[in-house]
Amino acid sequence: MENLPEGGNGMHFQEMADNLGLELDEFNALVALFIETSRKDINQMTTALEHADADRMVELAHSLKGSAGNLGFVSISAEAKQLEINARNNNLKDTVEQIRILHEKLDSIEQVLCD
Amino acid sequence: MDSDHRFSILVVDDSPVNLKLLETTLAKDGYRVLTASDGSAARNAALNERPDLILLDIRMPGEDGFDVIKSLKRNSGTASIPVIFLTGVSEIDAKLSGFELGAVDYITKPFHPREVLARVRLHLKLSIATNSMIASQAEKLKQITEAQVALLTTPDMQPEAHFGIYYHALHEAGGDFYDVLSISQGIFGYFLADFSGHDIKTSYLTASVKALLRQNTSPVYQPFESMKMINDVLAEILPEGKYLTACYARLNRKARQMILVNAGHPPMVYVPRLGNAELIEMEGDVLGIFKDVYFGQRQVEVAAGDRFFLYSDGLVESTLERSVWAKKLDTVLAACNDARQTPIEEAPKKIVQMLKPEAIHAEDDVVVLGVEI
Repeated sequence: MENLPEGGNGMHFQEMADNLGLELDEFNALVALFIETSRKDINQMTTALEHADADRMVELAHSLKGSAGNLGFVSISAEAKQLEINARNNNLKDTVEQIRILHEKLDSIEQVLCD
Repeated sequence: MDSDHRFSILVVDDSPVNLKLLETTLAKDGYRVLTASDGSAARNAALNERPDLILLDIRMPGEDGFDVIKSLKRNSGTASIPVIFLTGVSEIDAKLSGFELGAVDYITKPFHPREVLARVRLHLKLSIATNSMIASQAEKLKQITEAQVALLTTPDMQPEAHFGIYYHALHEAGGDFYDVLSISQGIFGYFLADFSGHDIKTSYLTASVKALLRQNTSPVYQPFESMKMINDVLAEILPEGKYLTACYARLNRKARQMILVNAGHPPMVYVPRLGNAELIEMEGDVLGIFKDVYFGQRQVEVAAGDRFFLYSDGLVESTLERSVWAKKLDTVLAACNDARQTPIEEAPKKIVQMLKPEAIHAEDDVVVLGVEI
């Protein structure tokens, strides 16, 4: 099948939409919202990091894990889960890299959406 | 259902993505969807819109789902809206607390839209079934026109229920009402009601209440749910302005659990075998007037030898002295304490004698129902 929107991780938005019982345009609207809110959340993680606010990090990571998981972005959800674990263990040092990775993954989703 | 015949669902989640996902899913299935992203908005929406069902996220900043459901259940306008929790898998304890707080079900995250739809349909069906059951009960009872004698049960008729009764009715036509239900093996219901005004104590009404108790006290219902259903039927069949105050206690002997519900009635007395008598004070609306009602419910862990006393307000009211029952409760407690050594079958009579030596000249019906675990 040609011309299917496909992300770097082999995501097929149509497939993801089908899994959720949604039309593609409905799913795309959700993805747009997801990108918008996740960007904010990941930026807030950076702020939390600067203030060494582990509790806030846990909150943000948990929320991101949840919304990503619900839409079917398994890779982001898994990364957020690891970040949450780190934050719970007060291991903020390792979260720096994880935040960068999250931004990257979000970028690739945005790429797919814009195609 | 609202006027355009769609069911309405209120979805509460602080995550905009989750909210939108649920909203899209439910709207596609034909529901009218309301959304709220915090406790305060949720309460307002529930009260103003009266949704048919609420999906409630547990984990929210500030007020969490537990806070929200507590306040919903305390408000008679929103107490009977079924609530389904949305919870993360790791929150095992949350599920159990959720049920205790009155949630009807839970859905774990990540939630699959099809699972959400299935659960929503199921609970809406249950809601419809309960409502139509109430409507049909009301219909049937409206048709009772002949005077039917409501047989009042006695301890020797139900020895396994371990109770005693003192019953004095002022009028020949009948007094206040009590009943003891053998719900199941080791599960008993004890009910006592005062009718407002003597003119409505016709036997068809007491026969109706007796029938309603039998129909609505299956153990699948929480005692306060049973009272709610009985209330809804009574609201249909009672004459304008007439009502009952009542208290209902359900005992599960094997689980050592007593659950008490108060519908605008004087507080029940709990006499632990090893402890002082105390009042179970709870708020509750009366039965038979309002559609939106709240009944206080309390659960007590009990042991063999513990006792409970239910009584009509005639026990403490004395129009001769123009005193109000609230002031007389200490004397009731003392009397229940003093009657410890009296076998439960005789204890109610003993208590009445201690409180109202002139019981024969009482200006009101006096009923005391004592239960021993």
